[in-house]
Amino acid sequence: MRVVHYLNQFFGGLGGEDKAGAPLEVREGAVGPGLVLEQLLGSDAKVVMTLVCGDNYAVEKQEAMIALALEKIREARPDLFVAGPCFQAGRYGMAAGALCSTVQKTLGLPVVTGMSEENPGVDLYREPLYIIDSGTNAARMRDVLAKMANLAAKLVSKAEIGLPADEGYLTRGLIRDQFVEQTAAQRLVDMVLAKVKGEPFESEMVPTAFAPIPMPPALKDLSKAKVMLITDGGLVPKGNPDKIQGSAATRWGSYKIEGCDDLKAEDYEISHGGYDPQFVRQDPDRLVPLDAMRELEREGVIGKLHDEFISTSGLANPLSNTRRMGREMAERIKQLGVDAVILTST
Amino acid sequence: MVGSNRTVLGNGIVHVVGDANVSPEQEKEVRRKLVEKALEALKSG
Amino acid sequence: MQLKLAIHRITAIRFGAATSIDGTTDGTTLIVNAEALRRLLLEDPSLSRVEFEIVRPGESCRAGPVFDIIEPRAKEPDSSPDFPGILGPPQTAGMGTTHVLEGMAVTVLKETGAGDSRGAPGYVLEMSGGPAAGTKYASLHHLVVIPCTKPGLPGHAQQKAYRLAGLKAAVNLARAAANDTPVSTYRFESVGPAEGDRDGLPRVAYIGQIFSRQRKPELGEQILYGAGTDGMLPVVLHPDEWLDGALVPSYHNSLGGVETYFYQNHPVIGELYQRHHARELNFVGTVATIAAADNFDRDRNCRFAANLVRWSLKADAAVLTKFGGGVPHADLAETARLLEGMGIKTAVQVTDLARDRRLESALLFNFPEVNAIVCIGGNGTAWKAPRLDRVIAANPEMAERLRGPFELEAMSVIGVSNQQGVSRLRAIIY
Repeated sequence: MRVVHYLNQFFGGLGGEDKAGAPLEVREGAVGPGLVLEQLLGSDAKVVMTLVCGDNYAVEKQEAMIALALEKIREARPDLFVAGPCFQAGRYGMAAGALCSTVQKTLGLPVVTGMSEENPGVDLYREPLYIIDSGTNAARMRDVLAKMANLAAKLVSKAEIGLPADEGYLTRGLIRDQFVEQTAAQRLVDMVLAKVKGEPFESEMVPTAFAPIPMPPALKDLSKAKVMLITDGGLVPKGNPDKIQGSAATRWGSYKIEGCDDLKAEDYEISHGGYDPQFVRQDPDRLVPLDAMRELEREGVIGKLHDEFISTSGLANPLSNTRRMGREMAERIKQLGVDAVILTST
Repeated sequence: MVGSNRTVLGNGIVHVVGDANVSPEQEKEVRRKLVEKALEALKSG
Repeated sequence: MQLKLAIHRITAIRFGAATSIDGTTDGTTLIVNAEALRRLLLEDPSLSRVEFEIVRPGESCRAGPVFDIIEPRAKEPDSSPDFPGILGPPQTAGMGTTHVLEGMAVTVLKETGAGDSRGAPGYVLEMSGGPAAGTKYASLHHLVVIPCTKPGLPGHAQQKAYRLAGLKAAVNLARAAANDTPVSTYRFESVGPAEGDRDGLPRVAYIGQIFSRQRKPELGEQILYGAGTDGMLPVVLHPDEWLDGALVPSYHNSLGGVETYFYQNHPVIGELYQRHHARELNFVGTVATIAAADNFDRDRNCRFAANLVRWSLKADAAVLTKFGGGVPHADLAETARLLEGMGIKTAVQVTDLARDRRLESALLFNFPEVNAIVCIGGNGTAWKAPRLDRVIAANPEMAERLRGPFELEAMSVIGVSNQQGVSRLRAIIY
């Protein structure tokens, strides 16, 4: 097994903070912690190259550092890339995370790093990477490297990776399926009984708290505002020209309503598998309130109704998807000079 | 969890801005009221 | 209330001259007179023909799309009716003796796979390979009933015909056992709020969603004692009512993950009964409820359900299950939150909604007190379904569609991600 290892200036033996500006250096063979790593990985493992870089350089010149590192790693033809462990060193963690995630993505190599939970590199890279929980104490180096080596060996041999508590990595915030011995009903009753008795229990899922979204400023003058209609109820022109999926949609569409005062049942269909569409099918204005908006436009209550509406299907859609579509829509709406949006949601 | 700041309660999942149980004229009135409420919300800060 | 189950264990099914049970040293065979059963089902003027197929556990066979799976059960004459409200008057279920053909099921197919939000043809019964290991249904003998409806029937009438065909077939088959001696009988210990605290054991209730108003109930759709759920408020049911025919699933089973078989063999109710008998807890009763279509509806239903558990059942703890997809998460969590606020401990069972496999997408609620969550997986599991010679479907086109090879998602294999508590597929955070 050929291994490339990344270290900062301190663990790479260049020096302390005074050497933090040192550019990326390439060393043959293992250096410092790499010697222990090599030993822990077993007799067929060899650290063929060590990359050493100053922390400031790695963060300030990240792009250049990564480009050079990638080139060198490619040349070394490794089976595994390891960075750190970085403990609580923030710049080290950021560089190791960026490098690991790029190597994983562009070279398709197994990668492992180690950091303490508080390292800012964890926030950014915990999802794409296996980051061994190193704690903050560098004296535990050997322990941490042992866990990294163990996990790395599994990644290289494509063995099944256990849970965070078993393998020692920081929870990635991902979900996978597993068949278990007990039925859901048994687990449910076990859990409630433990709760009643005040005994510890482990919830199988934990809710996510989302940061509040700041309130956009109020509209000053409605009568001058350009208003747009958006829906996530899956209303699309007959034939669903953008092929918006009825569930977990990855696409959205924008549809002309210029010169139209009332949406006609025969022109539209619903692509949404999560509600009974019969009523909106009969009258699409029940979802996209065009007739009412036109009235308000004619009466001068609003300045103008934008001449197209946006539609997608909001069902069982992961946030990563909806976030992207929301951004795309917002960009489009800004370009169009729209002042306000009414979004109808099923 | 809904993170939207300006939320107007619609008239059910199956017809958010409609009502199949009333006459078309009444229904349009229902719709207009809901839309007006949304516009009102847009003016609030 | 006292329900007695008379268990007749079936180890094979074959067609023969008279519907009866044939016990030999090798096991017990259910002999089915297909002609007589067909005549019975064709009394329904909605049906033009009915086909039957026999499927064995482990057999290389696939059937679908599945409308429902039912355990053959029949009541003794002096007991409450079979499927009250649907096949008989809506008298309280759970009284007297019920004959059970254990180890088999009546599996009803539908003619089209429409109405499934995942684009799949609908639920598939897979009897072999990886998927079979994840579902109890693969271990049963099945009499597959394929009802073909007359052309031009509206959707709701078709579905009703499927429902009736399945229930009638299940009852008819089980009647064959009425005069046989059961291999075992099972009597439930008395349960209910009037039964006292039994030495201070925690009083535990079950709240189960039986429908989600994401869809309007179909015209004439029968769910609880033959009634649709239009205008339904939460209602206290004795556990035996769930087990003995008071409930059938919605027509839209792809939304629910609910089958009649696991109402009859309800895993949560079964578990609570077992712990009740083991004197680990005091099972005080159940509440059936629905997930709402809007916030007013939700507020009302959740409050009523919580209040019934608090004041009628006087529970110390409750377990909750949901029906359907994402929206019912809100009703489930709100009910649990209200209960916790009354000092009643809760655990809830949800399905994982994270198709991107991210933790942040898994739940549609975030209440600190709703912190005991069982999570059924399914979004991350699929199998390569091989091409099979034996594919059972209502028509050749559907059979071809199901023949394979194709990728079979866990959510499309009936029983794997079931929401009645039988699932062993768990979503795990890593």
